[in-house]
Amino acid sequence: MKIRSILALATLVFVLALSITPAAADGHCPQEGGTFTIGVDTFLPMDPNTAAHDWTFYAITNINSMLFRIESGQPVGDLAESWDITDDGTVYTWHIRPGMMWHDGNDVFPEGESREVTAHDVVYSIYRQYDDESSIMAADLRNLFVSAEATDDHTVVLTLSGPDAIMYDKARGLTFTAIVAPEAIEMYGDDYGLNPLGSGPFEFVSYSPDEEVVLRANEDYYIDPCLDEVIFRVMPDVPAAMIALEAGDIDWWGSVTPGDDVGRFQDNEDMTVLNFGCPVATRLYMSVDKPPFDDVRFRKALSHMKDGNAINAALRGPTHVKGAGTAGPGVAGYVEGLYDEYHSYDPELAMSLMDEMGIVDTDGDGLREWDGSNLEIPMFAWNSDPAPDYVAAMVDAAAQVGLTIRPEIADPGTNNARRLDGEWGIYLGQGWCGEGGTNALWGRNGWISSLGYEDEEIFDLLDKSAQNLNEEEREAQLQAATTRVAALYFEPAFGFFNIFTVKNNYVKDFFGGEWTLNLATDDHNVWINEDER
Amino acid sequence: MAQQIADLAPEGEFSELARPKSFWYKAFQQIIRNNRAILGFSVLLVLVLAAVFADQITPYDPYKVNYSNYKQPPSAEHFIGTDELGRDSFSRLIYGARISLMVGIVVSSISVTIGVALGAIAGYFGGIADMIIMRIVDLMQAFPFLVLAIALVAVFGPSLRNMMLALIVVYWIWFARVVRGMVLTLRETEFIVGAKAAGASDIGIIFRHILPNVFPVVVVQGSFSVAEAILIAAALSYLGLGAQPPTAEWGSMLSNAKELMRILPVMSIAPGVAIMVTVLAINFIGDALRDALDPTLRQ
Repeated sequence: MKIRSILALATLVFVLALSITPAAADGHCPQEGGTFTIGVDTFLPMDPNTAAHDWTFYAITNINSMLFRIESGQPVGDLAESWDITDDGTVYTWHIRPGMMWHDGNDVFPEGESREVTAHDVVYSIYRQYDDESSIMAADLRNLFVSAEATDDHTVVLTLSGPDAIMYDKARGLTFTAIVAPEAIEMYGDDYGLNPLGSGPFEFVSYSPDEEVVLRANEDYYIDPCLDEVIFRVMPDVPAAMIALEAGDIDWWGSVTPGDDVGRFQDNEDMTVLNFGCPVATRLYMSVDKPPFDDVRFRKALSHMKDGNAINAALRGPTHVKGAGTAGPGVAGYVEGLYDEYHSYDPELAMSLMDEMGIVDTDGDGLREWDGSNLEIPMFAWNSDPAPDYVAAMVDAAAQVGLTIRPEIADPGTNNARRLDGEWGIYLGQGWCGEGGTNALWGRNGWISSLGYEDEEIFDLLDKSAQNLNEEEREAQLQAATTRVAALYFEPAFGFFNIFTVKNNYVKDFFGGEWTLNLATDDHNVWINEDER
Repeated sequence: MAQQIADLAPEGEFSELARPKSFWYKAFQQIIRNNRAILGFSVLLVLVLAAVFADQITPYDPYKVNYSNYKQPPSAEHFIGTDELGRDSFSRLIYGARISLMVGIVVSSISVTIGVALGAIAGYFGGIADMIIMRIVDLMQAFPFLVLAIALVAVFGPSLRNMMLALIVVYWIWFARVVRGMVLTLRETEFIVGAKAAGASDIGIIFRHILPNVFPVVVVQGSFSVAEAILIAAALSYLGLGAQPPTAEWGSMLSNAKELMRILPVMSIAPGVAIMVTVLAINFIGDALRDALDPTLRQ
């Protein structure tokens, strides 16, 4: 009898144990625990107001809850369990998941003294971005925003002046708006990014700038993460990172994989190469509000003087994709044939355009003069591969038509400062993929507006497309905007490249890495198979 | 010590003791009997000739890109292959010798000039001049010299010229300190006191009596600093703080090659070996000069 009682009790305890570990019970965590180490080439402080940086958002979207997450391009519930949208697309009613708690065991909320995340916190987070004009709040949302209101503790009503067709696009709409705790902002102020606090599946543990960020599983999250710990290791030396990836020192390389390594990893049966899903363009910007860049003939000459497609193919290897514009093949707004029409290699045309402008070699030294002296154009680029190679290619291309390009290679921060100051010269740029990227780059108050890229026709087309819920019409408007950008600015294009990340196959149930990184959601719970490691 | 200094005294002064011709002749004899020195001079001669006649001996324009021929392995057409832009790596290696030797020689020469001048002034005149110069030296020596060079380049902007300026700023202090120490000893010697008593001017004493005596040591230190400057310049260029694209420089070639290390290891090995051989050759020469010119080591 006594034995039977003990057996019954043991069975009861076992059943109870299974019932309170749902992830394990439903098979999401064949192995629990372990550390997932992610390699990235750069990392910024984790303030969602300022960190417009893909790899940093990998961490932010695991520390902080968002109203929704993006999976396979579609929004799925996160802090918002569900939401309703009025027929005219102007009022969003977000239903906040009850029982979501702020991370505790920190300076803001000591262990066991946390509180529930409410609709008021969501409203606070939205206004924190909206009120800060320098924040990274997406322009489409900022332009349409009317109000955000908490009608009760679990309901937020977001009112827009018109429908936002790109609300769920990466880097658009609300995808930047991580929900932050007012108490944390109050305590840390500008240093919040060094001490992020949220309600997501992983809690912030430590941040050593330029070294690593450590997160641990949030035991109070509504899903039990399979992983115990996530480490972001900053590895600016990419070749060394590739070796670390193969050695298993990092489990997933989340930044851009060099083209030469992509093919090698594709042939490695222990690795999986993942496509980021949006081809990224490499191009040149210039201070278009200053002469001689303000003359369309000079912009056209710069575009035609270099063999952009060949340069991109050489430097991007198997990741190269021919094309121009901000949206690549397969992405809304892509215009086929744009490269050949506006950016083809034609040094003769480039020279004749400069001749026409009076930028000619008068003293016979082989170098073109402008305004009484040799025209020497600074080219600003960042100091990591392959940017210096693009600069070298441009120096060579310019020399062929009698122009001098002076390399100005510096860290990204210095280049950003130059761009914001509108410094005279040409700038190497890459990124800004897809529909959202088109808006972010060429739209009103876009990323390069400080260089003089302001055209009402482009703004109007992008504003209309951002509010157009008809996909076909929106596509046409985006294509018109893209074509107008090419015809007006002749932004010298090199082509696209696919971003590939690489993971070791012992990382299971892993879902991409598209701006948001979903390590523990209703559909995915990343785990490490230690037997395969 | 007095005897050693007398050995170094220039012709015309204390002629019964000084044997300047004998000193340099013996030094020359000692150097040409040193096999490592001969090897060093031979390698350096080849490098100098390659640098001077680079235009004539390189098979291709080192800056000419060729997008149909990039990342090629070594072949009869391209001895050490082509880089990521299709440029001939061998041609770039030859031109790299021009940059590296120029950096080493210019940095060392200017550093020696500044360091010897300030060291001589500090040591000979003492007082406030000595105090100011040596406190500057102390201040600059408090920083690790590579970190200081990186900081200076970061402030002035990365370029070959700024890198050389930064190296000069950190290198002159070596010579200033060494020369000051020697001058402090020399100025108390009898031949200097005698020259003063004979009415020689300070400038005359420095140029006619002191500098000739510190010259052998400076030559030795200078030769080592050429090698050191080449190494540090390569390191700074590797970090992107020196020669800028498309300049062919060994450090920047190494940096470019790191991404190709797995598929084209020769692109990393070639500039690495070039740096090593050059530095080794100069160090062999420096060792031989030290053995021949340093009175305490002369046999």
